[in-house]
Amino acid sequence: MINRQSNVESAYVNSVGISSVVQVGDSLLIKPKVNALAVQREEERFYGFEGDLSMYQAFQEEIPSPIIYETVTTNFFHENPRINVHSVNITALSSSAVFHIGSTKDIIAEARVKHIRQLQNLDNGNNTDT
Amino acid sequence: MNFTVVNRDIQIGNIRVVGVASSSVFLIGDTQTISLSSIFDTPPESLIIGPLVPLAPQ
Repeated sequence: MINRQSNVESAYVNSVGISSVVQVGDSLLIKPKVNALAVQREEERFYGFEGDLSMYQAFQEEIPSPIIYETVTTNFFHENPRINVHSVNITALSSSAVFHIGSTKDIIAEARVKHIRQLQNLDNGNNTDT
Repeated sequence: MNFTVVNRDIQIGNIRVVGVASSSVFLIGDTQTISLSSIFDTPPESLIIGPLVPLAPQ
């Protein structure tokens, strides 16, 4: 397939977060991957030595890829080989997100997020933990 | 299987996106393959009530 030309007059991206990509121009392969442990604590505390990801199944599990049973013959006709966009405004990209102006061949993205909330144990109205 | 696509004029005005997250793509152009996977785990056990012990220390 012959790729089309992408014309974007103006683009604004406020923030690009963990393992995300903003690409202007053509590319061949974009493969972002992120493993995140999202912990919310009742008390603000950061130890710095936490996060052995092998302890959680979400980071170990294999992600199956689709099996293609049939060969597909494709035909593309670009009557107008241009994509015209006046403006793009994106507030945020995060966790293996891709914003791409231009053509590419493969995008393979992966995001694994494990959420944990830790609340303090209240025993008879007294905090047992600090 | 035969798959035919005819791309005619595309003229877009303004695009406003609040968020692109967790293995998502916003593409202005052509591509051959896109493969996106996302695992998001929030089981009931992920709510831990008790002493604030370090999680999975290394």
